[in-house]
Amino acid sequence: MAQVNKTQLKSYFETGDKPNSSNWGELINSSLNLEESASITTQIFTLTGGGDYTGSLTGSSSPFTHIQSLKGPLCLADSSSNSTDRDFFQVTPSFVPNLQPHIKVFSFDTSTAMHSASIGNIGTNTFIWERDTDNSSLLIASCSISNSVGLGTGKRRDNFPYGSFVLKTGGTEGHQTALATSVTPFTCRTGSKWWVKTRFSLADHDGTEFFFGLTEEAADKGHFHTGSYAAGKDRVAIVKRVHNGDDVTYGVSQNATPNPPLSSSVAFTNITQTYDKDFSIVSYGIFWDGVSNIKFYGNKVASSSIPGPMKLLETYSGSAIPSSSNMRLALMIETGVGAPAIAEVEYLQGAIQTPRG
Amino acid sequence: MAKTISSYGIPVPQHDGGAVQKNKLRTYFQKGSLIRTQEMEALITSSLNAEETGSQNVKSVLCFTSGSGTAVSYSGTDPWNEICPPFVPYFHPYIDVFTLDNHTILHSSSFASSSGEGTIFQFDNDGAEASFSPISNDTDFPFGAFTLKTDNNTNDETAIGTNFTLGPFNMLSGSMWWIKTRFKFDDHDNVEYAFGLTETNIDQSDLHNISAAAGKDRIIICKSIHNNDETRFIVTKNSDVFLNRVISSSAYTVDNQIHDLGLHFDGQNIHLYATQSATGNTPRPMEKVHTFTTGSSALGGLGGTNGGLNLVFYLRTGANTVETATIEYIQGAVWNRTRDGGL
Repeated sequence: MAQVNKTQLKSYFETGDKPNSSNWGELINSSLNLEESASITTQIFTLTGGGDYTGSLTGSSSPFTHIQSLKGPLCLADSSSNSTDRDFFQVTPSFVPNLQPHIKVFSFDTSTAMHSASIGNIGTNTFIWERDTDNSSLLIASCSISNSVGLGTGKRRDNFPYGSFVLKTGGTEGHQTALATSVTPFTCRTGSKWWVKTRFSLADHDGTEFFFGLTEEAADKGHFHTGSYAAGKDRVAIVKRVHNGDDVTYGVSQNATPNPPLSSSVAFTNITQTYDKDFSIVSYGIFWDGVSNIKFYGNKVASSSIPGPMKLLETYSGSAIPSSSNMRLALMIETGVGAPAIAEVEYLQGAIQTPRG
Repeated sequence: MAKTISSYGIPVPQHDGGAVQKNKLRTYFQKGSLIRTQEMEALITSSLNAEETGSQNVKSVLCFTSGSGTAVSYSGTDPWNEICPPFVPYFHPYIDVFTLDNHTILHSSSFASSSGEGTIFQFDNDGAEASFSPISNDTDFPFGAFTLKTDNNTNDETAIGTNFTLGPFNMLSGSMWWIKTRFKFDDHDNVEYAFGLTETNIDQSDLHNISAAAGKDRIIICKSIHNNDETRFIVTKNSDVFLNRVISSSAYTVDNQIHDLGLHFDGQNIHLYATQSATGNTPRPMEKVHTFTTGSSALGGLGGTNGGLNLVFYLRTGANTVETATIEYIQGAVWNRTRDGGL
């Protein structure tokens, strides 16, 4: 009996229907069965029509296992009690490399990047992750830093109890640094979804600008977060453009003439965003649906609070969606004062539904 | 207890509505079956529920072809991923996973030489030019890759593989394993290679062509002659050559051709999956191209009574030049019944 999708299954069980054994069989075959196990079966089978395995697999003690295969992206919604408010997690796959073979994952967090030596300078091209090392900027696991970095131990403990990295610029106005993928596989290609997310806090919100998202430019390009839109500078981002302004906005561009015109970033329509207090913890996510929409998500809580689920901030479907450029995932900060800007980053992650096998 | 018979004359099963496997479940819903509360309970209890907030226990090997959707520019099935568990360490507690890719091994300092024992993966670093290092700007591998390079004298060899002392892959009764790789050569006429499992250390000279002998068991796909495109599937145990077969569809015919190879031991037979794509093209899902059917009785003990096979990618130059393999990943998973206590 075949496997069929949910729409087809529902059609077998409508009012007045008389489901037959095939209908029931397809319902059973199409569902993930919790009881299939290695202990009592003597047959391997797949549930995606890939072929039958029959023949010499006999004997009650044979340990062969049932194999069940899932075709659709599997999203594991958060298990928090606040489960009705999980816009981003409902559309997002697990950021686990190699879990779903057609979804490529980039994950920078304290669980996977165990030492900052795993990160090269931007342009090195021998690492997955790179950082802008100019002006003695710093990227270091938070457990390794001293108070001289500029973060109190209490803040670190309270805000990111599962570990974090500290990103720190040089100490002169205009100094910037960034953490970014060295590969540039992100494109708003039809049929190929992508997801990116981050969580961080800023030590001095009045002195810091930031960029989170995708950029076609190298992530060490000066002031790329506020630069004019032009060919070679495509971006999809959440930005704090002005160090002494609290507004957090978004920007989408393809080449020089985005539509609608984006001379500067644009405020979110659903829920406006600000970064208005030191050490606020913000979570941001961006999702390309593989069709025509870029969706922005966010959440902000005060220092020492538990972050909540990200809510949908904006859906952008204009013609500025960059559909042909190769972009990298980046988180950049820039200081607007004569002191280093410091961000504490819990994670920076991306996933791409790839056309590659 | 007297049997209850439905009006169609079918015995009504006696059960309590608990979880059962699919084969059993289907018998509850045959033509003429009496579908009672218990049958519906069994169906619901046996299935994964998307709305349930409590823990749900999946007993089977769970495979994902997911993410394919409309993105895969290929309308067919995905045979390899339908039988292959995710190469995610600790995902299935009874399956050991070895994965070498740019997402899990972030820097070449993670490797020891083939004589070292301090790392999971080893690298044969004989020769000044031999190297193994990440690369992130190859157009055919946009998500990152590694380069494996030989030294620059004819017949210089190198390899990357799991630690010799581990030998985690075996042909023991009840074990299953899966291994796969994706790679390309920029100078295929001067390259020989092997991918698969070997009982020898990974710096074994002539690993791909060595004569069958005790201690040198192999299950490999290889290109034995640098200026010949032919690819072979070889299985040896002690002095027996079980298989030495040309796989014509897997010939390496042009520079930078992207090859995907997968081998799966299902406990009885060894299945070879493969696909190849021209540079710049999207790799297609691997298809099964050959099944070696000698059976577990002959294969038992291959690699030694306690297992002892290592995952390896071996490379040799056929000219006085450094030869390069660009490798997106080398991965292996083994379900070893001797470790059925879980990880």
